Amino acid sequence: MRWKAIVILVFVAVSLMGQNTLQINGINEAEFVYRTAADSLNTYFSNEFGFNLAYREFNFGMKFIADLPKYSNEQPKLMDEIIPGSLSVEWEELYAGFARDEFSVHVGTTEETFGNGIVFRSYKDMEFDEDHRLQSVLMRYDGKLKLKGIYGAINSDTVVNRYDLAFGADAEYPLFTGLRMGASAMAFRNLSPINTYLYRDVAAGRMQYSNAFLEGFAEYAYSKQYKANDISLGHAAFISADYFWDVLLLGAAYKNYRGFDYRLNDIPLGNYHGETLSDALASGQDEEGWQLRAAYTLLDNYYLNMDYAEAWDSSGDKRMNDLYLGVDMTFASGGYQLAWSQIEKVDDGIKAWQKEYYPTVSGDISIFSFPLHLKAEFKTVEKRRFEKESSHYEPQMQADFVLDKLSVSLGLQSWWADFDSIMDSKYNPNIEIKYPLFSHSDLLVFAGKEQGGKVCRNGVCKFVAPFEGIKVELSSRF
Amino acid sequence: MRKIFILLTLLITFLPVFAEKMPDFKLPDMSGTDVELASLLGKGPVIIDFWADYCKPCKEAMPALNMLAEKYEELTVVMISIDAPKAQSRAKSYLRSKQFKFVTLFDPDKKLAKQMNVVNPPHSFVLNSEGEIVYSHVGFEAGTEKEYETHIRDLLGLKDEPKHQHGENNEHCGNCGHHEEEEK
Repeated sequence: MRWKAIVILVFVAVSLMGQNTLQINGINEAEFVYRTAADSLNTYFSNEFGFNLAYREFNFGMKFIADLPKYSNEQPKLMDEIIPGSLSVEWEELYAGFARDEFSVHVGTTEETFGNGIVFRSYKDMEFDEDHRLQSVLMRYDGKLKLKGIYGAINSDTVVNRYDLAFGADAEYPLFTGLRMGASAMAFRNLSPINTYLYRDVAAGRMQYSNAFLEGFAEYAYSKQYKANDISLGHAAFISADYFWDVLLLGAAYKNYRGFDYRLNDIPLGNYHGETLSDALASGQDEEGWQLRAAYTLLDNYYLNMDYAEAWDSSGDKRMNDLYLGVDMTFASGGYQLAWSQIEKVDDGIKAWQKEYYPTVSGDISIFSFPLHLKAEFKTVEKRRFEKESSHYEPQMQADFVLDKLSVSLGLQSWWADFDSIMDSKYNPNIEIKYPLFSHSDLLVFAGKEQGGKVCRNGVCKFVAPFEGIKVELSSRF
Repeated sequence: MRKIFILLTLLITFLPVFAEKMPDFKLPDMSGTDVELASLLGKGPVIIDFWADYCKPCKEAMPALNMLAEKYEELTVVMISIDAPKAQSRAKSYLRSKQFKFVTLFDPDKKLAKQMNVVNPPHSFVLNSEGEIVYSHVGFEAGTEKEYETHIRDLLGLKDEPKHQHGENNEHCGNCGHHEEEEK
């Protein structure tokens, strides 16, 4: 009986789609993995299936995952994670919504931002593979005055199987052409390990201005965290302005954060590479800094880009600077890029400093009329902790080419203690092949080893976990 | 389990049979003003390209898409940034300094991106003037723009482009519009 009902539903869905009143979009990513790590589960299958269904004013969506959890970078931790109990089969995302005219309601897994994210952001961090999404009720009014109200819960990161709460509202209004003003108020209730809730209330005001020459943004937020008689205050101030004069851009930004580190926000870091002030300090806890940027387009072919930022904490012990210089060249024969990146961090409290600098070269070349896209980067890392200094090099190269419909990417990474150890060092080669099986389906095969993080190859950018082995993935969109 | 698998296969098989329409959306532009899909349709084909500031292939696609926007007057190119809200200022700065002929919109919470299964940028869609998706493509490599141009010319009712109209070294023909009218 249930099977007949399901078949009838399928035919109803198909006929409704024929009338263009029902729309279904989805994606299925099936992956076969052979992992060379020494563990009890070398071979496994993983599948992610997600879809969104829209019928008139209603929408519904879900994502189902049968997956092994992401592996740690550290080899000693691998054995703890790779046990049969670590396999997971679960609904990662489930939501429903209704929208009519300017009014909408969303229930379930929520991705939403108030303003720039300083006060509140519910999101999935693809770079670090962390889920900061609320399960919530979100109501919105998108007229000239924009209003949002949210109430939700998220798994506590201190107590298993318990929840933290977040609720609040946001309003935004265009005062006159180009100027928008906004205000937010949020309350967070985080469960502590001693089974009491910590209260944090946040209020903020912001403005955004935009015209043909100027783009500006400013936000100030105030935070009060309290539990029993212990009250701690915090604030976050961020200002950014860009001036455009034909093909010249000049911009600057300033940040000042104190006691403003919590889970459900995403504060601007105010530097090109998105670096934190210190690996030992949470973003927003104690930092101040500024940023200058400039860009110039020369003769339509050359794009010069410069970005420099500095930051420090209130004691002055922790300091950092971040520099990026880049030239993009675009010609009929292809594009080329030269870039220099440099990041320095100092922590006088623990007598530590770290400096990374790396030139990057990329471009399109032709070898025997065969087009090739090459990228090379040579990172130098120097660091000191207490009295011990060390340095190493991280070279990497990548070559992408296309043979009819087949896209191939060859990569090579290494880690050199010094130039004398080039021949003795470990090298991580990898290859990825992408082939479009049908108009909505791609086959990907990866073999080799990679460090993980953000990768751009075969014309696509994505975030990947560290991996060594073989992966075969079939991705279908419908 | 096997029945559910068969059902899903049937569903996925039948679904592409029907023309897929771009869902109605309302996204903010550079100045924060909401732009609706309906306001972008009706003039001619539309290319909607989801991109991010951290995505190099996305930036490599932009000059090619700009070339198409300049070549075909009826074509509208819409760039939708999926950058996080804190990175939007950089995305805006990049596009404004380049002065491309694009409509620029922002989808920081990936609401439309999720509806369209946009996971890894760049991800492009070619729409006809009614908003029906005639072609979609993930990624950008040299030559991808030729596929877009083929679909655009089909939608505009143009014949295959004569080879003599290309400049040397395959430079784009900046004033081909009047030739297209003669071909029709």
